[in-house]
Amino acid sequence: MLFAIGALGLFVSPVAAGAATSNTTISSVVSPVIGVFTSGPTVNVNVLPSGADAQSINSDTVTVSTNDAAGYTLQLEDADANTYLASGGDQIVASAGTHAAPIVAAANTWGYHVDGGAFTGLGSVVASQPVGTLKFAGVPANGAPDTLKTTAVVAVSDTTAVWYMVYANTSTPAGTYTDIVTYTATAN
Amino acid sequence: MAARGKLAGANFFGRLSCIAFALALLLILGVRPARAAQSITISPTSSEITINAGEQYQGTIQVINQADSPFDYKAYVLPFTVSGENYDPSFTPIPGAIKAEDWVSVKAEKTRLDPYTSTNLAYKVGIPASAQPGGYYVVVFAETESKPLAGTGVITKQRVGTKLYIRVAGDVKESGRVLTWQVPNLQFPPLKQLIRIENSGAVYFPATIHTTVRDVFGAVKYDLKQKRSVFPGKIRKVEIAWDKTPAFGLFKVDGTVEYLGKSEPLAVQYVLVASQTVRNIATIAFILILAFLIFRRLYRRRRRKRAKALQAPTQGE
Repeated sequence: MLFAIGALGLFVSPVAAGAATSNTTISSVVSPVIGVFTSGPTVNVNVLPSGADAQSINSDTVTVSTNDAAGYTLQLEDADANTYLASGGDQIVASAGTHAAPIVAAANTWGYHVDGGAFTGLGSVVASQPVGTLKFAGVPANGAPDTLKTTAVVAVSDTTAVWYMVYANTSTPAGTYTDIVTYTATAN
Repeated sequence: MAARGKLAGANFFGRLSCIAFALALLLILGVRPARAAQSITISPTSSEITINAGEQYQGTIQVINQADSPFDYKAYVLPFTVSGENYDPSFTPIPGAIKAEDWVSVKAEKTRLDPYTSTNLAYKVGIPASAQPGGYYVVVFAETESKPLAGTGVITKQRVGTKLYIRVAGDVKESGRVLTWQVPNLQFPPLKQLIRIENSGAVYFPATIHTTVRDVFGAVKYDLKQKRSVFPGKIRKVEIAWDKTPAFGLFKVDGTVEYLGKSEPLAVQYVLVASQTVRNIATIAFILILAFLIFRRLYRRRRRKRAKALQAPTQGE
């Protein structure tokens, strides 16, 4: 009888009978990363200068994510030394405004705007309208970038809206004007 | 016939309402054509390499496409330096400086990345035998290739980089100090701290800044530890802001900066934080108390005068 109870106890409680523990160390290396995401590799800013001057504005959203505890720096510059929008031999020159001192758009210029800082007003989409009060800066040449944002903490999908403007009138020869802009995101 | 006419009229209004609905939907959703998102990610963000002159080092970097459209990319190496105390990164060659970017070569496994895939970017650092001991800094960039644009506008490219802090082994001067530790005693929220670190040596060093904000009872309210690189011959300014600073409070702030194998303490600072609203309320309260005190004094003086005036005729009688 006693033997039967003892055997049952062993059967029912095998863990207690053979109590053995082992520790497993879990380790994981989280790699430092930085990524930049844009709403599209192209931003159309078409203008229809019907009679008078016309300004169009369209936006690009740049999203940066990094697990670098020191944050990131986002910069913008032209892909080359020529800062104009080109259509064959025709040009729409860059705005004379700068990141530190942006200006209201002048005819036959293009530029960018980011909300805040020296840029007064908030960007919004505009299609071939008379010039407004929003201020713009010319996209700087390659090698002399404008710093759009500097952060100091980890960034999770941190967005920056960049508004591009083209201001043309009937003296601007018709055509498709383009230029290439480079965004650089660097971990701090 | 009349019924057919009514039916035709109903169809016409039905179609019109359908068109109106479609137009409204188009306006709500936006008239801009859909654009394919583009995302490029790189890992690691930096790498420290110590190597002897005349030797080689090989490493890999991962380039990742985290969006739903493929892209072509190119990889290249540029010099890396910083400008100003805010450390704006700069990738333009410095006239007269050694072209360390020429010591680094990159080779991509492939230059087209499909959605949600990654690739390895192999790089090789070859230090010339004649290279002097010291620090050399470059960045390996992965940059998306541009796509043609249908219409007037801007074509955008994105680039992300891995910074390579190359140290050619040998005797080099290493020195630095904490130049500034500034925490104004009266602040608006957020509570801000400013630290400036100077590297007076010939090679980069990382500095680990650790600051703590405590309340009057000693409870830790904000604790931040961060590593910042400091370039030789440069001063790096680090501003720390406690975003969740309450509207009012008295705090004790201290910390340490660890660099070049030493730990430099940051002296204890006491800070009174008061928001504009709190300051306005305090000003109004002060004015009211002052007004009350003046009124009470005037009232007492008048009462005394009246008492004297009442006593005067009595004395005369």
